Amino acid sequence: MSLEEVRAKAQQFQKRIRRRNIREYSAMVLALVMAIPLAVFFRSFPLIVVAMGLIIAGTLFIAYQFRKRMSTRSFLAEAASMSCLEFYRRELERQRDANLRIWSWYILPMLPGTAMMLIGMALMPALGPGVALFYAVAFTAAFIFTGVANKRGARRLQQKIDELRS
Amino acid sequence: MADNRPTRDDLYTEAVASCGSALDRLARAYEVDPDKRRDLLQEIHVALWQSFEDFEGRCSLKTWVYRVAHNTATSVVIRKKMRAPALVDLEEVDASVQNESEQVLDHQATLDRVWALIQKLKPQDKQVILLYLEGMDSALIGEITGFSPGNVATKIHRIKNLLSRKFHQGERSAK
Repeated sequence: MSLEEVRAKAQQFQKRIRRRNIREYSAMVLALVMAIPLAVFFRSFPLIVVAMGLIIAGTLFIAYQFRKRMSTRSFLAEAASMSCLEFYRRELERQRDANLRIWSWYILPMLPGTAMMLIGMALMPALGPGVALFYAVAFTAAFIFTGVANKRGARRLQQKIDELRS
Repeated sequence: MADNRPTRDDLYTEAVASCGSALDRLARAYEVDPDKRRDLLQEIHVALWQSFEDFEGRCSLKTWVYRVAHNTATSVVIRKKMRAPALVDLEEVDASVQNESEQVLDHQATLDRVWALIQKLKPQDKQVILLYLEGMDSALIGEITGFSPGNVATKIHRIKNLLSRKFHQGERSAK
């Protein structure tokens, strides 16, 4: 690749990141805008309004965590300064830790909002405990499945890390 | 006083002049699909150019280039690991070679199969053999990969034996 092509590609890459950021922020703004009429609609059910606020806060926290874990700058610094073995181990460890900590940075932030939403639904005359229970079971199954799948993934990665050490 | 240090562009140009074709081969070893391989190669070139912003000459240009290239490729492999076929140990590659049925192979086909074997290797084995095939000695391979020179020599010996058996099998089949 010529120097000009590489510069153009690097710029394209930066533009792609900018576009992705704009898309993410737009989606968040859209979610907030859409939440306002819903909050007005459910104003007589304060629990639902609070739950929506908590779910939005949880989503923002997850988005921040994703951003923190995808820094190009630190990737390049490590790729250049570490030996291949060290880098490979670090990448495996990073992914293993992300899988293991999925409860704290992906599932836990969504729990308060989801729980409050379910309680609110149970107290709403139009829905009632039956519907809330159905969603509670579905959410719990989804959370457990995500947690177990990630734990299994972390175990596989740990095996690879152990193989590197042996 | 004027800063005489080479710029990022200078370093990149020098790196491509000395290692450009090796980077093509490196991408081939990591990616089977030609389109994805082209993307990988572009990703390596961009990472290399960007990385030279921080190059301070603490290691040789060659070491820097190969570290960035292999580590970028490894990172791509890890990212897509769920979709890709599993990478295997040398023993498993060896067994799969011995179990294959006899078939007539010309030289190019044999080379293709050797490449296919290299593509199947785990990153650390792949890195060692690729650097060896680029003509580097154990010390430099060790500096880039992080293995001790003794470990590098052992790995090279084992992988070479495997590839050599593959070549001879191809020659016998051709006769």
